[in-house]
Parts: sequence; structure tokens; C-alpha cells
Amino acid sequence: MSDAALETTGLGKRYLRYWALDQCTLCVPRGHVVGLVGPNGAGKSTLLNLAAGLIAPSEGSIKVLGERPARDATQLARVGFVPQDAALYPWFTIEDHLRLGAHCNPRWDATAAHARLAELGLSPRHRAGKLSGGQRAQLSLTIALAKRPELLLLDEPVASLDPLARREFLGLLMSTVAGRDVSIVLSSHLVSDIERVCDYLIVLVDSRVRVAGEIEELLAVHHRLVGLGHSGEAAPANQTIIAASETDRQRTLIVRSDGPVVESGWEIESIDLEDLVLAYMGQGAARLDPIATSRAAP
Amino acid sequence: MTWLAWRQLRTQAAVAALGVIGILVALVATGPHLRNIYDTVVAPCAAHGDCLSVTAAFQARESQLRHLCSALMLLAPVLFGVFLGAPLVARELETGTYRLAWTQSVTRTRWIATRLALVVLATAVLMGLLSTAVTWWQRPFDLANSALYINFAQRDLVPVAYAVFAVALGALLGAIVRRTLVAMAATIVGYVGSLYLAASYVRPAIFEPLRSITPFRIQVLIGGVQTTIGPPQANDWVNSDEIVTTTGRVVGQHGGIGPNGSIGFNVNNDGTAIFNGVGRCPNRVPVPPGGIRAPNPTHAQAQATQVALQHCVDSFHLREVVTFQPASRYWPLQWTEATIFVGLAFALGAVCVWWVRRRLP
Repeated sequence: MSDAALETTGLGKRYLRYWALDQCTLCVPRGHVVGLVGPNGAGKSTLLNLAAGLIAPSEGSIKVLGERPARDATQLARVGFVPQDAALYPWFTIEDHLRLGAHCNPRWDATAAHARLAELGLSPRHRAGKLSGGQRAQLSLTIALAKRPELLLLDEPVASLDPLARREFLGLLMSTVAGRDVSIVLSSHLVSDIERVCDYLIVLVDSRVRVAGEIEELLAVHHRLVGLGHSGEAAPANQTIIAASETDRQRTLIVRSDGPVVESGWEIESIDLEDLVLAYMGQGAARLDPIATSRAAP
Repeated sequence: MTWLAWRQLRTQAAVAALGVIGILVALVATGPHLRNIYDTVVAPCAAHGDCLSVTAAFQARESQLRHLCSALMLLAPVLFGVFLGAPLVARELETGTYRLAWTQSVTRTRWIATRLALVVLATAVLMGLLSTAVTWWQRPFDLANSALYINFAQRDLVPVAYAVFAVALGALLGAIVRRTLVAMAATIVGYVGSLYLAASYVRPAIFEPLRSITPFRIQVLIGGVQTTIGPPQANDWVNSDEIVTTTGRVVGQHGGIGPNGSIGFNVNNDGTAIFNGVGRCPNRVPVPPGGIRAPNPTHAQAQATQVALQHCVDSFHLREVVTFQPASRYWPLQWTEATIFVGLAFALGAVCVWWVRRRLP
């Protein structure tokens, strides 16, 4: 049980000449609710599909719960996956989907699955093709949960839901897994989803991991520096500048600093998760990225 | 996993089963009567010496059902390939449901192997039923036809093997092209192509054909020439039929000694008979007073012409070389071709399993 929930080394996935995921090195310990955030097309789905064993890496390695994804039936049983747009058989009824789960999973929890659907008010006789987006997402989650996985992967589970349904879905997810020994990785392109439920953050932009870590720790080491009239002056020393913006009157920096920040002439503010994510997302251009330039000359 | 494979198959399987049962009912309802007519009227006809008209009348029976049977036996295998084989993997990829199927506690290898096995099994059972029923029902007609090989691909074992092959082909193509419709079209093309190759190049070559060499005989009728049939018996399958000269030159095919199978000849006004591309016989044909093309020859004149032409052709010493598969090889050929196609199906299935494991999505 000491293995990490998700561990990748130099992981990359290439489609023809396009790298959907590049040089991804991560180590996510167990027991976290991980938010995987980034703009559309950043590689979130690719990472989750790699973790679910649906696609194979082009380079590097990935281990999920200490083993290669989808290595065998045992490994598959330990990971629950809620795919994007809730992939369901449209001509199957809800009951059929539960029977599918029961026939294909040794640790299937039929009682919990039925109870959960009853709670949601879903009749087992409904065809999956006729369900609303929210109901589909719920059914998909129910199937994944009834496997009693040690790791639950959710790929944009709430992307197609309205704000209320989003809140409900995430709330139900958290209350269902509360008290269970399960790690969760869920992706979203909205920080608000992550903020509500996650305690660990991975920011993916342009196929690369920008930052990863526990949210509390990340917030503790990132600061906003506002310098009045400092336009054009050198940046503060010993700190990594994540983002910088300038107006006529002031310069604002988002910096990462592992030690205490004491900078004369700069006003130091703490930042929230949204600022943090936006700062890393704004860092999109490859030329600003030390990792990107290092790849060109390996 | 078997449950899921069956759940995904059962609708199509039910439709196919209904179709098969429908045709079975029609065949069982009409079959015994046909058999009775054959046994009491057609089979003993030789004793009465009036087989031609009796057989012709029998052949005209149930013509619609016979056409339906032919169409079904030709189409059914490819229908199995198109509707059970092609969507097997392609639809999962197209609709994204593979993400549900492949993240249950069942490895991809087991998933595809189970699904392929079940579809192949269902296809073999249904096609087996259909082929058995059609073969049984058509038997009186086939006996009356005396052309055992003419429906080789629509009788007994080979249609079942074709269907199994078509399903495996469809599944593999679906996995490769990942689009149901494209896979369906590709399955049709691949299936038709394979069957064409099998019928034209493989089946005649499975066993070294027998060869018969006989003197070439013609029977010249007024206004035309008719050849007599060489040694292959009724129900044999003629692979090639060549007319060769004493030097071994091929001068005709399929009973003819012209370039296109017909027997072309001219008779000049001096009585010289010229067989195009073969030879000539000077001054043999008696020329009537009005010239060789005089209309309305008398019976005696015509007969004299006929005898002269016959002698002329005989003087060339042509031989008819026929290669053929005797009727006794029907079952060995059925087994061999069926084995080939089932073997191909297993090979395609193995590639499909490998493809799904290694190359998808």
C-alpha cells in the first residue's frame, strides 16, 4: 500500500507528430483527491486514458497503484474510470449496465450500486440513451464506484452539466467516497470544480505539467508581489516568476518562493487557487518555459 | 464477459435467427412434395425415354423460392460479416463505449476473444442451419440438373466457412479502420474478392485435375456445327477444354475450333472447305449447280456437304484435351475449401486480437 496512486516518469504520448502529453513526471501519493486542471486540449484526457490503460505511452513510463495500467484483470479491478461524456451503451438499460458491471468485475458491489441509483431516482428500466447528461454521468460514476476501486479516475465528469448539476455531482461523489480508502483523480477545465473538492493540484498546459502538489502547500509558497512604480526594474532575487503583468502605474508578479519572502519595495499578498492556476495557465508560450527549451537539446 | 458479449449480440442474432427460421419453414413446407415428385416422376423418366420435357417441367417448379435460396446463400455470409463482424470493434471505437468495456476487470484480450468466439459460434450455427436446409431442399433439383459443381459455393459446408470467414474479416477491418460504415464496405469488397480468388484460382488447383484426351468429333448440321461432348460425365466439373492439333497447337476451346469457341468455316465455290486457323480440305465439298451458296439445297445436297465437312475435320486429326474434377471429388473439395476458409478466419481473428491489444485505440 506504500505505492503511489499515480507515478509517471518522462511520460509522453504522441499522435503522429503531435505530442498530446510530453515529458510528464509526477508522483501522486495515495489518499488524495487530485484535481487535474488545464485548458481544453492540454492533455488531461490523455493522461487519464494512459492511467486507465486505454492508451499506451509513446515514451516514458506510468505506474498506477504500483503497476502498469491494465496489466491484468487484477490491476483493472483496482482502478475505476469515468470516461468523458460518460461512455454508455445507448441501447442498454440502466439494469443492463449494472449487470455488465456485475458480470465483469469480481469485487462488484451490487447492493451499493442499486441503492445509489435508487437514491438518484433512476429507474433500472430506462435506456441509457434516453438519460440526461447528469444522469449519464451519475450512472457512469455508479458503475465505477461499484467496482470498489482503490483509485477512481474521472475525465471531465461534469463538463456537460449545468452549474447546479455540477455541484450536486461533485457533492455526491465526495459524500460517497467519504470514509473509503480511495484516491481520486478528476480533470476539469474549471478551477471552481477543483477548488470545491480537491486537495492536490496538477496543472497541465500545452501537453506539459506546469505545477503539481498539495494545494495547501502550493498556496503557501506562491505569492503575489505588487510593486508600485517598479516598472522596468529587475525582478526580486531567489524567486521564480510564474507570471508578470504591468500597467503604467504598477507591476504585479506571481512568484514561487520556498523560503520566506522579504522584498523591500514590494507589497506581498497571498493568492487563491484560481490566481495560482491562471498564473500557470498564462505561462502558455513555450519560450517562457525552461522545461520546453531543455527538450530541444537533450 | 460472456454475458456482455451475448447482450451485445442478441438483437442481431435474434433478427438473423428469425430470418433463418422463416426460410426454414418455407423449405420444410415445400420440400417433401418436391422430393416426392422427383422420386415418382423425374427419377424414373429414363425408363420412359422422355427425360428432357419431364426434367424441364420439374425445373420450372418453385422458381421463386429457388431464386430466393440462391440469393440467400450468396448474400447470407457477407451479411453476417457486415452486420455482426464489421461493427464488433468499430462501433465501440466510434461511440466511445470501448472506454467502458475496457476499464472493467476484464483484459482486452479476453474481451475481444470472447466476443469474437460468440459471434463466430452464432454465425456458424445459423449459417449451418440455413445451408443444411437449402442443400436438402435443393437436392431434387440438383439431381435433375446433373451439374453437381454448379452450386458448389451454395451447398453443404463451404457457405458456413465463408460466413465464419466474413465475420472475422469484418471484425478485423472494423478494428483497423475504426469506422463502422467504412468497415462494412471494406468487408463486402474483401469478401467478394476472396471468394472470387478462391473460386477461380484455388478451388480448381486444390487437386490436380484429371485429363482426358480424345479425338475431336464434330457433327455438322445444316447451317451449323455441333460438337459432341467429350468423356467427362454428367456432374463432373470441367476446368478447361482445349482443341489441339497434332503438333500441339491450341486451335479452340470448349468444343469449338475458332478463336472464340465457335466453329468458323467457309466453303469456297471450288468446293474447298476452310476451317479458320486450323486447315483446309481442297475440293472435297460437292458444289451444287447453283454455287455453294445457292438457296434451298436439297436434302441430298445438304447431307453430302455434311459428310464432306465431317471428313475434312477428321482429316486434321484434332484432339480434345479436357481437364476436369470428377464428381467423386465433391466432398474432398468441400472439406478442403471449408478448412481453408475456417483457417483464414482463425488467422484473421488472431490478428484482430493482436490489433485490439496492441494497436488500439
